[in-house]
Amino acid sequence: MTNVSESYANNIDDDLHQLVVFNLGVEEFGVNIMQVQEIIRMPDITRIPRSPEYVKGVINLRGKIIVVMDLDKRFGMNETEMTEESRIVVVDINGTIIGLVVDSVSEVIRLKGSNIEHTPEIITQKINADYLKGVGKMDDRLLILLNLENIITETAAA
Amino acid sequence: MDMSEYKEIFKAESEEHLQQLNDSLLGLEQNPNDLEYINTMFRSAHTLKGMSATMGFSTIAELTHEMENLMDMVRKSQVEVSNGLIDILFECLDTLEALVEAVDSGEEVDIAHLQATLAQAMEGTMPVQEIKGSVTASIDTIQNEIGKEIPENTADAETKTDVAPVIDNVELSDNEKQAIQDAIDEGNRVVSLKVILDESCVLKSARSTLVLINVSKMGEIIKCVPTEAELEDEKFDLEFSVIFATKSADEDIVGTIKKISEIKDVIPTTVAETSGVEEKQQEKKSEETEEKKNTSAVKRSDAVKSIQSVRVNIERLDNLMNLVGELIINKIRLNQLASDLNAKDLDESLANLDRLTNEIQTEVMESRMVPIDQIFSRFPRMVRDLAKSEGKQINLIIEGKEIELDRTVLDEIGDPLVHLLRNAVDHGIESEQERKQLGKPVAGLVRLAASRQRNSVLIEVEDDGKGMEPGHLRDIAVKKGLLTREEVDKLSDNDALNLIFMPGFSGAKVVTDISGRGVGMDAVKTKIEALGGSVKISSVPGQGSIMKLQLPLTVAIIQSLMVTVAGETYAIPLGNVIRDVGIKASDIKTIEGKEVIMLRGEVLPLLRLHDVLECPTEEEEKQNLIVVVVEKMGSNIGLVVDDLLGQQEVIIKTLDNKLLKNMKGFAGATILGDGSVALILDIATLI
Repeated sequence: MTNVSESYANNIDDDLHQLVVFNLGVEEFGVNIMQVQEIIRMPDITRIPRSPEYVKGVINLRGKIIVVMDLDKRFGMNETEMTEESRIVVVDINGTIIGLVVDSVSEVIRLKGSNIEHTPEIITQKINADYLKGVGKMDDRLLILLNLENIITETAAA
Repeated sequence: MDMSEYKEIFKAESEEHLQQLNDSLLGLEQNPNDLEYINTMFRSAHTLKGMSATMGFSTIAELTHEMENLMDMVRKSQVEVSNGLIDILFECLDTLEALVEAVDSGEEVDIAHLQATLAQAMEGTMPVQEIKGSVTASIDTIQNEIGKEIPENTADAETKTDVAPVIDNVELSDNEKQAIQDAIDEGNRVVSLKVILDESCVLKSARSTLVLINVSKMGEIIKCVPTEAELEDEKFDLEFSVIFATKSADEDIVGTIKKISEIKDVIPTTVAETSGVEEKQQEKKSEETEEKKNTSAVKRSDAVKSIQSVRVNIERLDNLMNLVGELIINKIRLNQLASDLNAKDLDESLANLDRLTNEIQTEVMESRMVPIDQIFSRFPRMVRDLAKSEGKQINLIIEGKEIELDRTVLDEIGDPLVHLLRNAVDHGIESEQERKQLGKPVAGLVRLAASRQRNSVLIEVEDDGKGMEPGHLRDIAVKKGLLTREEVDKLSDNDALNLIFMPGFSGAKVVTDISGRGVGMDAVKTKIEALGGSVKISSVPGQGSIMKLQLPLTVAIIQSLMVTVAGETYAIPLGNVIRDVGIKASDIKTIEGKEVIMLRGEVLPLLRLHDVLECPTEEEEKQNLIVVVVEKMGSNIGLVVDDLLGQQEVIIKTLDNKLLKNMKGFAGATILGDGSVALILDIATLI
């Protein structure tokens, strides 16, 4: 049969990557669109006592309880303040649903596999290399591509 | 064709038939001359054989076939109903159970040795020639039956449907028309799906991409309007259409797509389909077998029950429950808003809404209730096997099997009950010889009874065995080093009985493979308490013991005491709460650096919830403190809180998440009337 579904399969597996781009601190990050469930404004967050520092708390997402994570704390970056632009990116990582607090969400882009490179050292000094998949180059911009599977594994050092 | 769905149905139905077979066989064991039992078994085995042959599970079909042969001979009085025969049949049922279990994994289960045993059982009394004759004869009849059903259906499958040339004013190219025809020939349906995005949708292209990805998971996309490229460049308003070939049902498609956020509506239209042959074929068959079963079922009303019911996946019911929870939360919010507005008309319709939501809640809760018979029904067999292996005679009396419990509770109490029954048979009931000497009836009595109390269900496991001697239990506790002699001597006889719930305590003198592994009673207690229930025990030495399990009707909702600490709200399950008291800060004393207070002549250790919960703010200095007294492992602890908000029913949501897997102290979370989340404290692991 035809075109649409086939070209679709290609996007996912092969060459083109579709990414949701968000900002955190001075960096731009990208996550695979397939893992993004939705993007919401900041709701009230309930703190969970005795949880790891990077767990910001839980929220009520239409009757479901979702754990929200502070990405900057996870990366050991400077804590950024909440603004009007702050969002929670709700991701589904192999069935684990988690909210990621980000400064703002900018766009959805397509990136060719050939434009993705290994993470340069200058970044891995800042962020644990386990959390990264690589760096995407777009014109003069650098997108840090996240490895969400490792980010939600508690054993990885923060 | 996707078989997994049919496999599920097959498994569920097979389990029912196996249960029926087990029940009847137990009946036959007690009344070897009542041939109606063997007739019932024969019918169940026959249906099972037909079903498994249709599904291609030949091992099951083979085994049931041989069982049928044996049972047929019993029917014709060519073989006598002996203990040996019953045991062989029980073994067959166990193997069948394993075979049905293995349907998913595709594991091989060896039945050769069973077949040999079956053959022996038949040969023992019969000339071989005749058996062969009856075997071939019945194979012929089966083949006839199967043969009759299949050709009709294949004839149906040939029918084709003409493809509508124009769909929703969308012009199709020849290629696309061909694609549609191909899809239909392969037994697909072609659906045109109109998707309308929410007006507030920010990233339209992202949404449409997600829709397409999800659609392509369910079937094959034939055409997009506007085209995929246009969708990506957001060259569309709020709606777009996808034409695709699929085997999924409309409701599943709509359900999947609607899970994506910011989708306002999804409208599926079936463009073309085959006459749905495959599904019908399956239905037809099960209907036919059902019919056969019914017509051949004679008189015996309790042998074959017909229940007016629909199989529903438990996940559906869980979702429904969640939705009702949300509905209630929203209703409470509306009520709050209305009281602010002070509008009479609104109040009236809200009162109606109140009533309706309450009714829906009750209905949903009721629909999750299943008769306790679902787990009770497997116990006669288990007790029989146990008694047999121990050389004891036991009468099992089951009462109240029609009592209904929430599905989730029911799933959890199976193991604890197995344990209690094993204990009763293994440790409770004396050996035949001992019973004779004591002048008790030779057959021991074990009673398993369920009864409905106001807001809970009481399950009792009772035996007329030797009972428990408090003194003996004290000795064991000391011997195992769980408590010192002074400590056990202080215990009342009743408290001494509760020693069996201590971890590491096992009353068995001899460890058998059946019970007495030392993980027993404390695990039972933990499980029941985790469900919000309780276990009580009473025993009279020489006369027997009785275990009483008090269980909530449902676990989804618990009564809690709502408290605030540093501006945060927490729920404490009422089951843990003894009482609340007001104290003066000046009455607090310190023992070894820990805060305590004298309350009613007892020393009550105090814990400040503010510290336990690591609240980020400083605790205020106050003169009057509120203390919630909770029970943990039999001792009382006072929790200092800022304020009490009162009692409330809360709907428990689990907090299972990889990030929190090592975290202790919380039983879950719940959503409050204002939509915010409050954590439910788990006293056992919190302090």
